[in-house]
Amino acid sequence: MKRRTFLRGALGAAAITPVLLDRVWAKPSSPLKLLAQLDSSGDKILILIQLFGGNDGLNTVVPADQDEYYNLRPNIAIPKKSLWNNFSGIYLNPGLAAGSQGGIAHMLELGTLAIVHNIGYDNPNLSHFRSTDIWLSGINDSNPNDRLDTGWLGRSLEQQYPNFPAQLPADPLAINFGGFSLALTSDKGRMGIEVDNPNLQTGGLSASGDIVDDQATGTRYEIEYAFVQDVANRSNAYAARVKDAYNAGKPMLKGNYASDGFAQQMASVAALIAGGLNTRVYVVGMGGFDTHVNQVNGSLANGDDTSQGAHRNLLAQLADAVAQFQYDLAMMDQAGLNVANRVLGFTISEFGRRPHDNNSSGTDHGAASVQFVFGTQVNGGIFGHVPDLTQLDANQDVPYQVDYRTVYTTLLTDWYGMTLGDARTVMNDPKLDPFPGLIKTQSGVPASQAATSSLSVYPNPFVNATTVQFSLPSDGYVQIEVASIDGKHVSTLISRTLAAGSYTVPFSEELSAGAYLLSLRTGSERLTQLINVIR
Amino acid sequence: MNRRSFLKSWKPTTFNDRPDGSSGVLAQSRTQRPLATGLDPFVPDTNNTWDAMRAGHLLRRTMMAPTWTDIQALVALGDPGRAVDLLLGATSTPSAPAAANDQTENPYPLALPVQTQIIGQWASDAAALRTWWAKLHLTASASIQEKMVFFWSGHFTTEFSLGANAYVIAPLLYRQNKLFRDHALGNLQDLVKYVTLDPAMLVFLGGNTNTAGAPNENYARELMELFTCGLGNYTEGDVQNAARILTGWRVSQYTDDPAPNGIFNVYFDPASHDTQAKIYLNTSFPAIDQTTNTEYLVQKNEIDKLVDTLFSVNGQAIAKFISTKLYQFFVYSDPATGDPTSSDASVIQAMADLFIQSNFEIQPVISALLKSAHFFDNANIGAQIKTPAEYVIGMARQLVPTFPIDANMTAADQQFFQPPNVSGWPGYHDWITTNTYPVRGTEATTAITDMSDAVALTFIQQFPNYSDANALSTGIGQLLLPRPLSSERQTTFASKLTAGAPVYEWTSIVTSSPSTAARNLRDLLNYIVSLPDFELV
Repeated sequence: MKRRTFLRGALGAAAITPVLLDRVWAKPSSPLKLLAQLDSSGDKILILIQLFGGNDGLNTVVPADQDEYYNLRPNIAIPKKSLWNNFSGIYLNPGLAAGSQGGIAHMLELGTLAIVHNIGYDNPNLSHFRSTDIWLSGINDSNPNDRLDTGWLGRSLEQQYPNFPAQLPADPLAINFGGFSLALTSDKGRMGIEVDNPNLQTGGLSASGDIVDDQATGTRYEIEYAFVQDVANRSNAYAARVKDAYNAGKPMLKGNYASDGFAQQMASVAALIAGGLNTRVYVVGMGGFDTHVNQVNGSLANGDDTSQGAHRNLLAQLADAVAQFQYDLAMMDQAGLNVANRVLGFTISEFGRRPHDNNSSGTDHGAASVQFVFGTQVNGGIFGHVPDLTQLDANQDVPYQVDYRTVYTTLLTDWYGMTLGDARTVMNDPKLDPFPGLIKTQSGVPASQAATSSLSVYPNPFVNATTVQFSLPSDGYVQIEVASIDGKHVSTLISRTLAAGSYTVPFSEELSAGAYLLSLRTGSERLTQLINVIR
Repeated sequence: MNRRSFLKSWKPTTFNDRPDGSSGVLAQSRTQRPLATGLDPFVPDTNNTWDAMRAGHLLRRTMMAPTWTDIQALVALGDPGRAVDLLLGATSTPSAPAAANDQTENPYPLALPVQTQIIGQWASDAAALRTWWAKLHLTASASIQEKMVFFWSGHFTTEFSLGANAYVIAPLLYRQNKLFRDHALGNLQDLVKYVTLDPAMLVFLGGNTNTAGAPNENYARELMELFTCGLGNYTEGDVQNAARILTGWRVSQYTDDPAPNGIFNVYFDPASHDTQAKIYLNTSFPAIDQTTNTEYLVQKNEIDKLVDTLFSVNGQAIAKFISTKLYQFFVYSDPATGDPTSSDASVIQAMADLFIQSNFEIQPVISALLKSAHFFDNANIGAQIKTPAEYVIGMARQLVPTFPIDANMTAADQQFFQPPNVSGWPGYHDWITTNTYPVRGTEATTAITDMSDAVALTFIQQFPNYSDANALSTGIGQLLLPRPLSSERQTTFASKLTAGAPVYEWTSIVTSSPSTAARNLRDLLNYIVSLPDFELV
């Protein structure tokens, strides 16, 4: 892998101003539950959802309050009245509310969805293929002569499992649905396995004790022979395990998954998790987002219903499958599995699309876009704000504000529990900082000593008063603070020694509207909760 | 180090090492054999004879799979140059399948049942087209023609199903396939001009709706990034201006479309063309008026000029980009291009030079590459991963003629006219995963199990001295595997033929007990398809 120092984004994550939710939740939230105790019996799981083709962020979370949106998109803009708008100022493509669980729009209401606006990277590359490599490798390098041959997740697994593959773990470290993913590749090769239908997974062939001709020594033939043999070894090692876990888990599924390929992948992941497979990363994906033509039905200029069409259907597939999956995790918890707190998913796509549409009722390759992060351990809410369409870059594209690599860094530290130093090594950037506030559980807490305290806030968002609930497993010094999203201290609620037990503390303070981070520190633990103040 | 101890130390963990040793592990553990540089021709000598291995190598790279007859015929030519000339010179003109001319009306405005019926018909037509092309590969006599068409179809890609109920219909795909056949070894610059106004391509990359005022940039970008010069040789402004130059071309897809040039052809819609001045690659395309905004003049002054400008400004980059892709297709998928002093880089540079010298004629470049010492270098023999097309068509061509090609290719992740995206099939290691490798194995063992005694005996009897177990083993190895058998393999193969009995027993088995001979052959073939290098060509 090429070692070099990469430029950081001109705008750090600290520059982000979170949007405020100007209205109390329009639909009732789920009953407040204290955070379930983290399960130390299984490791944290990441689910990477790749949206192939470049998802149009501007028709996903829509800047419908900006006239410029309708000016730039005379063909494909979606009328305000057709958009999901359960929070004022937030307009979602109606596809995001699809399905019996209300899609990921409802997850936003439940607090299990975070929306990260304006994610991208410095000096955007508008090639599908280079930009995909940039996202999957975790390295922002547009020089086509530099090969990007390893992925950030592959490198993180390599770092966490230094004896791979000499000692293959009992369960596959990673599973990619479909082909193999650059994301899961390290200098040691493929860190996971590839699966289509887990129930049909079989071993590979590969005769043992085979001797090839001595003229093969030092040839490319020898390299490729070894490559095939490695695939055979891994398929033999894991096929039965994957199939068994799938068949054990599948009867437990309650989600109503659609028949499309992506929904079936999500159902398979749910079944494998329910079946106890201790796989750390799942990579799933769906195609079709390269919407140069007929992104919507007809054209708004012709009076057609642009809330319908190919892009909405794609978002509906995505949103429904993710919501069914998240529902299944909750059902598994009810059945006593305690898995929901171990699972976190996120979307990536190589780029967003041009703010202005084309006369094919589509959009061409653009720059920054929107990212979804979901799970019970996500700080639900909106990070950043919809792009200001009067502030485009020199190429008339949406400029990025969140460097995608900072989110990866957060996932490595706050989710996988790697040290920041190790995460920076994996990300090949000694200065990279995490994107703050995305995840409730914080860094430095290995799974084996998982957090046992809890912290929650209700109501949230709130106008000027709310209630903070927390529990402590043991006596100790406790500090609860409120900080702005960029880390500036705002207020201290508690700073004293407390006995083990559950506590309820009212919190009322005149804060300006916006998002804040509430944090609880005790011993080696740090829990955070995103809170939103509205006016 | 003897072979056995070497192989014991041969850890699969080294598979991802680069041939240039860039990741370090390989360089420390083994020394790469040096490869021949440049395009100097391969001249057989006593150590490197013109034999079944090298003839088979040439055939495996230029066709889907060789038959035993193909290999013998090429060996008999006595010389690699004559063999390459034969493969490049042999052309045929296949007749079109019925699906190529199936005319339908535009289904999208119609009632759903009719729409569904028409789109179902398109799917059948596409399947018929795939089967038609598979049969051309299956029945081909020694010629590079269909493999070249396969190369271009993975380069200037077009997909039948675009998702979201959108399609590039079979009649357009057939015409594009014919275009690639007609120009398979012709002039690259001409081919790019034809592709730019190719009906299937116009539909696939949105050129068909590319309109002045708000152009569709899809083809403009891929023309440069994927089809000619590659990243780094143009600006985003060039993409936008090329898109403007390309506005106005429409395809007569349906019986109810306007068709001034006939159905399944392209026509020009002046009202959709951007007549303003454009600057592309620092070259001026002046504004035009109503009198010059015509099909003939815009094709000449804008489309042809666009391609000519691209080749004139970025000729070196195009020559290198296409040479690299040809190298990856015919020689080795993972050349050490990062190291300019590598033999691979020297070969690719020599190919690029030849492209420039020959004004982008394709045949001289392919001919020189296939005749080169580098192509026949020991290090490159058996170094390619079989595509599903090569694997499945090979099963049918070499073993079981009735082996269903389209369904088995699809299961192994490849369908003609349906690459995964505009960059074509990624190929190489992407073909072999813990999912697809077992699929291939299951397909092969199913085919072999289904091999009738009669087919098995015909297979056996095609080899000379087939009643000698060792001679037969050698022949089968030469046909099915890329490199000669080790003595250990020879012993294993022969003992499979006699089911463990002494090898001389084969003679009586094959003459007096044909069903036993057939069964033992199937056992041997099942063993061969389990070898890692059955995946290699």
